[in-house]
Amino acid sequence: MLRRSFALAIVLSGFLLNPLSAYSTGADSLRQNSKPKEVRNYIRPSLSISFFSTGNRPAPGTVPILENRLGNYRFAQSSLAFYTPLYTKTKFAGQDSTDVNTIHLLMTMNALTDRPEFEGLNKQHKLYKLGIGLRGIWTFKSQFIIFADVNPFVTGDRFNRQQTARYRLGSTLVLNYMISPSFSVRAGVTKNFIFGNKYFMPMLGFRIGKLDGPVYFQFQFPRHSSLTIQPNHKFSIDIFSKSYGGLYNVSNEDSIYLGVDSVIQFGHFGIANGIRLDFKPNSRVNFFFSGGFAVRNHYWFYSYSFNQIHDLRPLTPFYKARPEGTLFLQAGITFRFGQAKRSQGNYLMYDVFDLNNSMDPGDNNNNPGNTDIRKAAKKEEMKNVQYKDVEDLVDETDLY
Amino acid sequence: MKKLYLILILFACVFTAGAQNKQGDKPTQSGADRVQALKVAFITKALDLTSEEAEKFWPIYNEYQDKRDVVRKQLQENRKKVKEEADKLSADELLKLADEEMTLRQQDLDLQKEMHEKLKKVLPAKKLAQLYVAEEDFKKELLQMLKEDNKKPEPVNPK
Repeated sequence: MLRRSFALAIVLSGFLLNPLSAYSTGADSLRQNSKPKEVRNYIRPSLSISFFSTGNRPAPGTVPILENRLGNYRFAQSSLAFYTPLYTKTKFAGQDSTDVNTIHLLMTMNALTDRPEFEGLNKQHKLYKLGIGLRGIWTFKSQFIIFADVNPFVTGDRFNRQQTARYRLGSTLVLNYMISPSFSVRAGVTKNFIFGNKYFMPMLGFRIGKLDGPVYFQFQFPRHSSLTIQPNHKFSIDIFSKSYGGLYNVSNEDSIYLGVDSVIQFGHFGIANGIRLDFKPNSRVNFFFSGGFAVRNHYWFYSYSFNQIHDLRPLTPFYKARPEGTLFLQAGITFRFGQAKRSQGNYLMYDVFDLNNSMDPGDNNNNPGNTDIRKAAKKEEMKNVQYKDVEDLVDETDLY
Repeated sequence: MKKLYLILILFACVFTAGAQNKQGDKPTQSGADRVQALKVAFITKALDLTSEEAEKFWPIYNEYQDKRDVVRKQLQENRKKVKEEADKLSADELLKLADEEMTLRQQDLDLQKEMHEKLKKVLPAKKLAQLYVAEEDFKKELLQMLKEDNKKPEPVNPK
């Protein structure tokens, strides 16, 4: 599945980066026959790939026999996420027509492989998640944003695809109020699985500091909190704490549950505390590396038949373990394609980007970073400007 | 290991695309972004915008700059066509291009006037007047810098 996903990523990026594609800026022969068109989208299509892995460590559990059988635990994840705008509308509104209201409709796609590795098992489970969703963002009254995301997905275990496939739905609704460029608050609700079970949770958050400034702090419950430092427009450093996890159907071929179930459920959760370095060589791509310590790690196994027999709720675990804290590493790359409308200085649009980047496609909390928000420039940066970069601003006669 | 190769291929795609962009004669997205960021910094400083003013001002200003870009690009393409193909084009075609030059200039002016009317409602008179001065000053500063760096393009000999 993952190999196919990467093949898809290459085909997709090959198409979008191809100079002859519609997104390209260099197709003279095509452009001569067509009138220039206004760029409509503020959000550029984006493709993100990331890898995450923890160390191997003991995982004390509630059933000693099972604990001994499963042995040490390690977790690894590969994720691919893509979104693209489908429709964007910009409209002057308000009493004196000075509010620039925008509507953005995006399609999101996500392919992910989770590999919980139990040292005691001969064959390791490879869990997958594939999703395609819709996202709507509405900005209004120069200070407000409504963000809605619906993300249906299928999860399962490659051990037994047919029996383990399970359809689920994640969703989020958030209202963002930008009180000033340096301060915004968020409130909403989310249905997600990143805590290793199905939860309806409130979403509450705030940000202090400008998103294009040298430093800002965010607290976004239940997803992450971070302190971001941007020494220049190419680098940023995040000191962060974020949750990660998921809920999957897994095959019971290896009899983790000794009952009759052929399929059981596996949920896992942890909090990754660490530091992340982002490097943006140009506006089309950024890389990141992060590392730190994963704490409050848990995993659970659930059996529907066990819970039915014992008259328990369907997602009550028959076994839970608390793997010890461990180091983790994560690396990723994000590509952004095509051109976008101007947004510099538009702090409400920066909040749109931040919301869109915080809720990654598939709700896996692997956010691509806010590298589509350019750090505010300083006058001292006015050097090495080339004529081709400013030709839209000047008439040739200005040069003589 | 296969994944590593795939990632390397992706990296190659990106940098190849980047290199192609640099070799071309069109502005790079990064370069244009940087100039826009500099312009925002320049105007914000010159106008000393408050948070409330900036919240309203930049979305309106950006929206009209995007619209004006389309008109300017069309103007540039028409001019390029005249420079390069004047001998090949018929009198009718050349006249059409000359007429279009006037129409596009008028469209650009109409957009500026439309923007001006909107900005009147969000900026005090002093700042609105200063905006046009700041735009000119920014342009001059860029040109000065281009001259200093000796990056002025070779004048194209009219055919």
